[in-house]
Amino acid sequence: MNVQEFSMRFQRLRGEIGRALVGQEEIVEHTLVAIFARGHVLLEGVPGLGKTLLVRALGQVLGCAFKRIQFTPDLMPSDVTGGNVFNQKKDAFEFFPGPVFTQLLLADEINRAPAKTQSALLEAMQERSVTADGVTRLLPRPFFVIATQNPVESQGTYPLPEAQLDRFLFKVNIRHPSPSIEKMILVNHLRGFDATALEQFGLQRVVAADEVVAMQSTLDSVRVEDGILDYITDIVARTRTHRSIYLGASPRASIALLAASRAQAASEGRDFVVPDDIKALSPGVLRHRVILHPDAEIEGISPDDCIDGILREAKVPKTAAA
Amino acid sequence: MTQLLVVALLAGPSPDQVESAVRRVLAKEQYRLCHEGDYPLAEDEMGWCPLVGATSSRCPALPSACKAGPQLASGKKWRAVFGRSGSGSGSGSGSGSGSSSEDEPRFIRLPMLGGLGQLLLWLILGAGIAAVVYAIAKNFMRSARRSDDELEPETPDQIAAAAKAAGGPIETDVERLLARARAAAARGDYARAVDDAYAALLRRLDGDGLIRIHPARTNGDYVRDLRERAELRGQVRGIVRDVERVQFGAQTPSSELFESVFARVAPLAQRTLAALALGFAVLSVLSCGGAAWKSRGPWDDTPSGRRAVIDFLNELGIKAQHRLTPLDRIGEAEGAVVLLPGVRVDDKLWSRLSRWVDDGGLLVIATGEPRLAKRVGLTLHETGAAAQEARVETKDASAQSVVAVPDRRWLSIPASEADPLLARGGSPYGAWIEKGKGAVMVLADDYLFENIALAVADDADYLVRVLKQIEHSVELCDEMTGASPTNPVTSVARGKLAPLMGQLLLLLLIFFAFKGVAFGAPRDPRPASRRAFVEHVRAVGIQYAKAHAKRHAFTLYAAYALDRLRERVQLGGRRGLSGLAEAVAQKTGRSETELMRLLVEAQSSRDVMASSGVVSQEDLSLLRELALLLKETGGAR
Repeated sequence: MNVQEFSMRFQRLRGEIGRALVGQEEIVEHTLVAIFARGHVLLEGVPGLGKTLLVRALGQVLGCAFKRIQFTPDLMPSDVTGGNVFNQKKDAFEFFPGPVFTQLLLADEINRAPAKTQSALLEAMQERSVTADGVTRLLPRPFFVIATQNPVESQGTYPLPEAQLDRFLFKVNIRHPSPSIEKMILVNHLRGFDATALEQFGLQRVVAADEVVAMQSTLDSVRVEDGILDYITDIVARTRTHRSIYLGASPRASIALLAASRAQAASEGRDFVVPDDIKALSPGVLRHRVILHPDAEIEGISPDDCIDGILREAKVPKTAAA
Repeated sequence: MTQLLVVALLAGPSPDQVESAVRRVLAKEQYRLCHEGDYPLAEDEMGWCPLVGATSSRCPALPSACKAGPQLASGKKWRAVFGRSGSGSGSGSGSGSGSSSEDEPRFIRLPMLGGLGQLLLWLILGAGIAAVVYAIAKNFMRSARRSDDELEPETPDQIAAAAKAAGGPIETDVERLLARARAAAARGDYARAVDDAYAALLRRLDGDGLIRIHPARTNGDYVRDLRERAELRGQVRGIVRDVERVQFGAQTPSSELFESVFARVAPLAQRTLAALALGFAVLSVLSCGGAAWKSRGPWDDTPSGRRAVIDFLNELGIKAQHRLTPLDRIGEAEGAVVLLPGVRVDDKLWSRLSRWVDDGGLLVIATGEPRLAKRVGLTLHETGAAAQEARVETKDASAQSVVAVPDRRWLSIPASEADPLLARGGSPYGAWIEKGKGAVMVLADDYLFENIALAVADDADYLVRVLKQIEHSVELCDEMTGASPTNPVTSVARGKLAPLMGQLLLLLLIFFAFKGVAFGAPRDPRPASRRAFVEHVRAVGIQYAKAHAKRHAFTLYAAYALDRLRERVQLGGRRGLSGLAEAVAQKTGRSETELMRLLVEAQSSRDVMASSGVVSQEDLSLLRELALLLKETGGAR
């Protein structure tokens, strides 16, 4: 598969999901980019903005097995990964796979489960395998996690640890739609759209699971010029020296930015990455990977403000202005 | 033709239509003679006053202006002066020269300087010239010295390479970037050529204020900047796509690619120059004067002006205007041509006019010049008598129109050559002469074509009846006809701007010799390196934070605040916090209890320091309250 075919499929996927999820093109695009870059996505937004709808629509158009875990304070790690259960007939322990053994996993309200349970996803997300009682089992391919969390209700929640956050390629903030978009949503509902009965809406399956894997492999052919690597390095390095950032992004962030930019380039039919790809994806890749100084937080500075500032200063390669 | 004229005088618009058209025109505010009782009339315009009467329903203020008597020497003379200069107020406008009784326009003269003053003036002038010459010579010498000291690169590419190596200025001149692109392409360095061509495009867009170039901005940012210019955005996006394919993709730059990019960049990069050139060309053409004008300035609104007549004729469907095109090109004229005082007609031109009349044109001679009347076999006489009426004499006795004009001139007509049109007593005022397929109409003067004539008797009615049925367009020719320059060079010569333009060109040549094409050194502004005081404070704060010494900084500030407060309220024998709180309360008017709480918390912060290194939200609130208190008691210092 070449990048033109990749781009064609990507655009079809985006269009098909857009039929169900109105007015969230950027979110859909970032999520698809993350999927093809072999990454995971953390969706943050208040309830009712279509986070779950997005994931369910993805499951349908991608032709991937889809499972959902509703994270609650009493959720145990084995409820996620599965575990060994004694089979009296066989007189032996037998492994019962948990919901993580799927291709598309929706971890709904992930910050409602304690850190121990959240960490159960660590190995699955990074290694794409699950180890139970010393036995490592590979997860099906492709595998990606889309987690959601509500930024408003902080009572009874467990903020994701940095190590867990770092596993997410993107953190995407979903905001309220504009009045015109909201009107379109209402029009859709008047025409009979029901988010709870998505199967009846007739979303087409655009690709199969094995095609997703093939599309992921296509990204290896996307060229990254040396100046682009310098640009990525510069941006990530600046997060480590920024005055408002206490802890900057890790090298994993650089790798994530590189992978995402290749997917972004291919989605536009290019077999090479341009600085604009990096600039467009940096906020989503970096915002959850930096920790602000408390002073900066008190002043109301957000990670996005810091990253915007960095992008305004980082010199673009091969620019006419230098 | 005579029969036609007779029919014409009886046909045409009804008297009511004429009357309402006259009233509509004279009601306009620009015709101040009808709206201002103290409007200054000129001596020659006073001749109309006996014809106006005690009241005038068309021009209500005119009788009052007549009563005031002459305010100006000659309305026509003033009009001629301003008409030739093409500016200024009119004969009776009352502004500037309007209230003056001088015959000549007033010129501003500089006061004569004494000997010392003249000496100083010449010294200053000489010093200025010497300074300019010295500056230019110095720059030339410095440039020559630099050439001797170091071998400077000469080609644009060498300059760019040298600048880049030295971290020097960035090329921002569009023309030089394009030249550099062409040079690189000629050398076979197509990657560089594409880069330079693209840089030229960006610099042009930046110069036009459409984008903002910055080292941290991507090509996508520039394209997004153009979102309000959809067409341009599409063009730039296409160029960007090709450029990025070379810069970041695997495409090998080639001659074809460069030509393709350059062909799209050049028109965009040079379009401002093209627009300027086009604008200059348009202005040049406009400066050469058009074919016709409806008005030539405020003086045209005066009683002796023509604008009201033109407006009036236009109201009734006759296309009337001043003719600026030279009468040499009379062959292009359609309709009647009216010759008015000031028009220059020599023998050659007269023969052309005669041929034009023979071909069917209508020429109205109203110059009041005996020379022109003589050309058609009529004699013009000066009377100098009081104003009288001229009655329309037609073969139809029912015609009741009365044309009233001041009695200055009359015609004598040989019996067989012309038909009298208007008669004043036994003396003809106008005559009609058939000539070939056309005709010549001669009037003893131009009074019928003056604005003020519309306010008097049936002058307007007569004028429109004559002109309407004979021709549907009228061109008025006077001193401005043929006076406009035909090309920019003539315009400059007539404006006496040649010496100035020559000096400017010389200056440009000197600059060119010194600096080359660009006069300014092309470089981006240097970023400000000096930091604001608040940034230093913030940096110190960050260092404290990094050292986990926030609590320490906080207690230091609390101690500083307490010391400053004690100092400011000049606490005498009362040493305790309660005494301080009382003194501060007296000074600021704040609650003593609240102040006591604040001071106690500030005092106790030192004790807390040992037990905890963490600064809480309450501590920050306390810090801000102390800062506010310090400000209230005498500023932050």
